[in-house]
Amino acid sequence: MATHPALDRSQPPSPEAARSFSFPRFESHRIEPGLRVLLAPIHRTPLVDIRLLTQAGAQFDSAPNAGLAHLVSAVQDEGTQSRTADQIARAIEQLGGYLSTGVNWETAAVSCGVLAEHLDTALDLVNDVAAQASFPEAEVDRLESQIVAEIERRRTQPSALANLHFARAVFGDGVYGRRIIGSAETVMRFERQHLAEFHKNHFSARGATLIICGDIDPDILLPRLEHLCAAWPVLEPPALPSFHHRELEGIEITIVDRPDAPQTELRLGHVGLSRHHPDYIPAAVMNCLLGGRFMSRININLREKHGYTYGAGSSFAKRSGAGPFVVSTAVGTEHTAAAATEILREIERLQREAVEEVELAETKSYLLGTFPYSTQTLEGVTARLYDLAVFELPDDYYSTYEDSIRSVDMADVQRCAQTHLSTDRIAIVAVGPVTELGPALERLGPVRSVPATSS
Amino acid sequence: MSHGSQELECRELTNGLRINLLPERSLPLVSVNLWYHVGSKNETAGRTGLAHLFEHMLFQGSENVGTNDHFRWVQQAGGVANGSTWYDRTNYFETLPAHQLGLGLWLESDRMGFLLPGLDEDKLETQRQVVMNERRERVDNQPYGAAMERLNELLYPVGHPYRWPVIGYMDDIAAASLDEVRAFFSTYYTPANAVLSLVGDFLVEEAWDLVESYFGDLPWCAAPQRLESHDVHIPRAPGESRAILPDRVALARLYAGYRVPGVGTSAWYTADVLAELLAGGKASPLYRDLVHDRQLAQDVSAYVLPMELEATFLLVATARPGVDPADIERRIETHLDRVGEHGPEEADLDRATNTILTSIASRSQTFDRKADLLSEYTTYFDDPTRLESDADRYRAVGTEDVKSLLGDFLAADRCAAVTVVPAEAD
Repeated sequence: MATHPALDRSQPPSPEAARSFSFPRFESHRIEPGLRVLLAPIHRTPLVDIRLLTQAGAQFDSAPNAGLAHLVSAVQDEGTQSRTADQIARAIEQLGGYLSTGVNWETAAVSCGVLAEHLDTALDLVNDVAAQASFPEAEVDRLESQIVAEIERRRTQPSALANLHFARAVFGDGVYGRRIIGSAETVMRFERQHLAEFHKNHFSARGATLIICGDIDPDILLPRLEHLCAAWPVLEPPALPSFHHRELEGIEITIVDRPDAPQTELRLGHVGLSRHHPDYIPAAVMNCLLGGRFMSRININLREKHGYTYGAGSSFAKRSGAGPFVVSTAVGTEHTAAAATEILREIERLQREAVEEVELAETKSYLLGTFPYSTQTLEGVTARLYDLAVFELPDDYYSTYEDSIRSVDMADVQRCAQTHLSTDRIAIVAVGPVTELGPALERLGPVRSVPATSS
Repeated sequence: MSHGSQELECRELTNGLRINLLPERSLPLVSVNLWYHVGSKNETAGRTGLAHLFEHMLFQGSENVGTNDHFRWVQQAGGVANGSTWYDRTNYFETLPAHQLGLGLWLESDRMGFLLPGLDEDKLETQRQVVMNERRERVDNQPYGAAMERLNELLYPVGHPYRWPVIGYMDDIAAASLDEVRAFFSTYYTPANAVLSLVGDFLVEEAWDLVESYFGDLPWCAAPQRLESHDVHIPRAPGESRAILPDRVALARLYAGYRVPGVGTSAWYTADVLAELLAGGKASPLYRDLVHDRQLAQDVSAYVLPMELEATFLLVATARPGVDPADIERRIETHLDRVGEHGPEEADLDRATNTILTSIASRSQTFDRKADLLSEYTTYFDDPTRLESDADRYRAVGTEDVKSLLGDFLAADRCAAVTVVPAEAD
């Protein structure tokens, strides 16, 4: 190795100059009768990724109909005016592609991925499933019992139990206190006509967005899309529900009893902020520093300093209403109270002390550096365009995103911690053995205990 | 898919480290991926989990990198990093902004060449606790979590190195000593037992200069003896192939396993096609029959694991409430018998092949996945160009291959099955 000067291993080499990154170019159109279209031509792979979004998410379910939006979406690809469930599945899978349907709080989505040469077939199927779903009675019955079985299954899953009871503790009977999937009681009551009616009241060109990323030519594609949605109905956008939450009266602790469980699933948190809140970006930077990455304070404290857990993290939910801020981890049961105390201490420290400049710089650098990483795949680009459409971000959002991150300063972080986090009004949910957890957690606040089998 | 106009460059250092360099200019990123040819199969019964625990210790610092500073350096540079352990190998990887390639090579070479000064008992104790919690989260406190361990104990007899779980048994994790960790490093973490792959926005000669300066002076050391299939091909003893496992679950679930030839053999590619053919997607015969038409199952899936010496082929189905899992098992047997006797429907074979070809196009989108495959194919087959020929290997799978696989390896008497059932309430 004579050609190399003596190597200094004591520190890393100085990096070269950073190379610039631009978010993939995309076009934004509105076509008759009101459909929004986002097209990102990306030719790195021979694939296309299609996502059709309608304003038919679970937030539009009324309380007695919890789970209806989810069921409608689940049955949508199980039969249309012209195709049976099997014909839909064969038509796309024979080409090596996939088609799936799903809902979150805001939207119902029909998703499809396939080689670009089959784009026409894929669009035809997406249109058929979204616009012409027929909700066959037999398929409705089958999916209802399948969903009820899934609800049963989640009752034995410690992390799902923790999430469910945490949502109830924070949101009570508010929208986000329900389950998207519904409950056994609501789901079994739905009839075919409930589904058809929901679809009729929510499927609309206005308010819908079609995202297509991949090996496409927008100039050729656009006229085809105009033809595709020409006959879609147009409805007034549905009214948003009111997103209320419970007013926590202090540290409220719920133990979901799983006798003899070898580990405790732990959640701590309270209501957070909406995706539309002006603090969303500084709060995201603050969260990244607190619990949003491996080097975050909470993970290093609980995992690397104390060995309490395999991992711990925190997040603000990205929703149109104010969703939860939650810290999640699974800890050795004997360390549950100590872990909760450490988490509260980290939140309190972030509110009290200004962060070090270097720690904030590292956090921002992580968020900036992983931005291009998140756009490697078509699905990654689609996810970014999804946010643009659903949360009504400006079209230049991703060209200014890096500057928005850079501009967050130490004062913003501390202000967000003080405004959007709390240690004295906070819900704690622990799924584990109450005989061990009860005495330990009582030192933190009043404890309520429920059996894991309760619904 | 092709790498555009970019060419894969394969080289070797005098210390035996093999290197793949694949320029990819579409994004300003670089993936640094390192495989060590050591996994849980190199452990011994009673001392399990060492390879995985060791992976954790590689993030605890080395001579020039402080405790936890590996993640710190990577994340503050805007990168992501991780590692994983498998039966046959341990891998470490980071994807960084392209101009930080030097940082990735500095970090990986420091722990390959200078790990031991950074190890101590306190760090080991913390990671023992972290890993024991990982095991609780993945296995002991996870519904169905024990099923795969039990199935492997039925499939692979005493003495077979695939018998124990990659994460190890709890008592073994608790007992791992610092001396064992040190010995493990000296035996297996040598340049000649490793492959380094770089995929990203770099010029080959510039990247090579960096690789050479950081890894070139690490000393040569004989690679450990390689385990071969014939060393471990111990047949299963008859009469111990089924287990009922009561667990805290609401729905019963069937795990049926078979032993098929290892990853990279034509039979393994056939097994991958068979899995997709049987249960991939809603058009597949098992989904159609069990989930849709008869409504016996909540879900059904099939896959073959990428294991080196021989591989586990798995069929998993969750029963609907009130359904006897034995009824599901009988239906699955009927399907296997039919395909074994008459071959698959042509449409099913086409569907499976097309789906796999699409997924090959899809996986080549990410720099990390490409780099990982280059390392895999070099480690197992000394042939990174398989990244290109994979599609043809799948296209070559025909009806007769599927029939032979079923006849030779998936006969009913070669099946081991674990049925997880709801435990009686106390």
